[in-house]
Amino acid sequence: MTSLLKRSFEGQGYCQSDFEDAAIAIVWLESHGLNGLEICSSQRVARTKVEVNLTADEQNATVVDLKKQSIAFFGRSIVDLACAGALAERVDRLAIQNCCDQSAILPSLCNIGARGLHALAYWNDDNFLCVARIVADQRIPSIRYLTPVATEKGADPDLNLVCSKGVQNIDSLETSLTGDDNGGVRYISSTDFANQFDAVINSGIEVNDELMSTLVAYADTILVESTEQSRLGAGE
Amino acid sequence: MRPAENVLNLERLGCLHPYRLSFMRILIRKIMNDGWQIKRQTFDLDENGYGTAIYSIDASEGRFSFVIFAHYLDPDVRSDRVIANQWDMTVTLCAGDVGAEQLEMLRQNVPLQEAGRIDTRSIVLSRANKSSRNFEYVVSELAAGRQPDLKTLAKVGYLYRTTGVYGSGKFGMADWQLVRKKYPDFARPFAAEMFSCFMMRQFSLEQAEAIAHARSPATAIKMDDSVKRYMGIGNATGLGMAPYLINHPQLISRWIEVRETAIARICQSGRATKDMCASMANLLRKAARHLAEIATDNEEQNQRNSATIEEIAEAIRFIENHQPTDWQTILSMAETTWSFETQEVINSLLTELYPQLVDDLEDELCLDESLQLIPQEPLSDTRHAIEEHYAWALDIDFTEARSRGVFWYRSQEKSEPRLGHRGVDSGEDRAMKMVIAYDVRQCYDAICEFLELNPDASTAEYALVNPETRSILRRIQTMSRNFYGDIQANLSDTDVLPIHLLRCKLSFFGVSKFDPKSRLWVRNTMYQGAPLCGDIGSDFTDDWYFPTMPDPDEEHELSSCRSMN
Repeated sequence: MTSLLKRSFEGQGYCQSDFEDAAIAIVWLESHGLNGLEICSSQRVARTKVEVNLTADEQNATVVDLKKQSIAFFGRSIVDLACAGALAERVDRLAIQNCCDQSAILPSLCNIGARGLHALAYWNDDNFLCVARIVADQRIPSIRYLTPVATEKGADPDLNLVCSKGVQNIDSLETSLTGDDNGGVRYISSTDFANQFDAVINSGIEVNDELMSTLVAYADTILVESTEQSRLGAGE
Repeated sequence: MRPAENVLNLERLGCLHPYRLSFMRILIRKIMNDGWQIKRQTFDLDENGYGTAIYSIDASEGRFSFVIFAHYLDPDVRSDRVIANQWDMTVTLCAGDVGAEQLEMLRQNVPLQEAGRIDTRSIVLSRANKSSRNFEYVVSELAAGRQPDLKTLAKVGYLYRTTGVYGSGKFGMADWQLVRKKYPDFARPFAAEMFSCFMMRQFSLEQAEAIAHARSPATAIKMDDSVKRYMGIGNATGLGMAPYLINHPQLISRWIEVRETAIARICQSGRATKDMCASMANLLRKAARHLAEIATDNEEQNQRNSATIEEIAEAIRFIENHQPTDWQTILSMAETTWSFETQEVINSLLTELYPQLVDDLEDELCLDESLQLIPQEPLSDTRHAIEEHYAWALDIDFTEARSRGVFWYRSQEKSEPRLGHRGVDSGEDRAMKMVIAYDVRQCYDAICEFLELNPDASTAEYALVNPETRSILRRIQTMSRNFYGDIQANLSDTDVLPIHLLRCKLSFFGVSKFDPKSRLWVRNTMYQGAPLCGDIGSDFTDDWYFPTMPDPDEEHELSSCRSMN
């Protein structure tokens, strides 16, 4: 699946790091029960080189305007930026504007944990305040779905990411977000994710025929027509 | 350990020979030492050998089935290319026992290979074609009550050639994550694939015997075990293998590092006593005999083998006359005096002399690969890393046409990788990312330009505004932190020899008897000299490397013809 997605995204014009990262992110989501393939099905802004703007907001967060790009393609870049700050002993909040597929930050959180850092990512989807966390040196995050606090539409960033060497900053931020709603509507622990993954690698990933055809069609665009000349000299 | 610029030279990598930690060697040791039970459960073949066979395998920790479908194949359509769609034999290695329903599903899909769809109970999917001359010759001789002539067999040391061995989640099969977690018997790189080749070899021998018996029950005999052991399974490898070496740089680097660690340990701790020197001389003689028995139409390979045989003779004289007391003396002599081929023969043989110094490295061959950006690294440090670890790439003049003479692409025919000539063949716009040297060059020039305006930039800041460079940046940063990094070659050079890449990987598999058919593909042999399934449980001496023709006078089993009745 990862291989097909890479070729499919390559066929859609994404650059190498983008299609590699997106393929891995989508397969991670799908194999951990989070419907990653839906990202392939949705309409997306055509991929062009994004002029990413870095500014600061009133709270001194670094604002990243992703120009409607999917976190599936940009998650690793965002995480790299966050890690750079944390490793320099800063605790920056990255406020990512104009992005979609926020849940695709989860596989990138694995990358943060692998680097020995703590992180918290939070965003509002249609129904919940989603708060995802990775603990330093762990390989799998957890996520809590909370009752959202009503805010003015567009006032908040689409995705927030805080990365830190020390755990206290993350603990206090998580407490401030979860407030009295400790349990939340739903909680998926890292163990739950691991169990889900074990189940999926046994059973495989189901892909509907229409999506498979679409992915294959894009993947085929990177293939070159075969000719008699091109066959020569490489086997009998 | 030897430095990277020495070891990662593409021409040297193309001269590697199998050694003690090649995957087939590790697998056979495991099978023999753990006493795997391999039994023929089904052998439903007609008089021409077509039909279904199933072997059950009770391995160290799990039970598996090896399912074979043997088909009639019109000789006119027989092809070793990955673009073929019919074969003499198609196979799958499955977890557990295979029931009737699963067998029927496999029967519908396994013969289709890439066009079929199997499920996660299958671990490996493969196919093989007969070496038609050899196969018919062997069957005829056995049917007539004669053992096949070893000199004739030596020209083609196998009955079948594999042309593709798939695993790791392709076509619906079990993913590598699943194999590694659930089937510890195959939790090493390519272990399941190598085992499947071993089983195809076993079947090929039994099928030939069965056909001979069907053809002439009154006179047919079984092949002597010494002859059977001399038969391997052939392989045809082309450009399809090449992308793996570029797409898995950390794993390839690790395999090379393990080999070099083994050699370094022996140089440091292995005593070159008189007895050890005598043993080395004998192993070199064996290697020379092995090379002399290689039959290839490739004149360059013949010359190379002949030169290596002569140099091996010199090496033997050196050892016997000088009686060196340390192995570094021999290796230094080899480095200054003899070819890469001879140097690597000596290196491979050294590992055979000291299993106690080498065998624990078996567990180091696996690696969880992840190319990571080091975002906090100052971009100026990244530039320095390129200058230090990729100097070989910066030395290539890409303004010369020949440096960018060829490009790699995937054909519409089964996505087969091919080489095109720039300005001549179509597909440049869809070129595969295979030329790391060029990407490094581009990245370096861009970084230098960026640093002029942003001298204090971090790598993360640069990568965020130049996302198209992230892939090569994280590769550079990760690989420059390995002892051995990327293979040092310009794969877009007009005169590039991709078979060096193929032979490198094949040597790690344990493949030998390289027979280059062009610069793009090579035939070779696997498991020649290896134990048979019937040898499991008997005393095992792990000495089947550099196999040579058995001497009939020394083999008690070859004393008389036996009837199968």
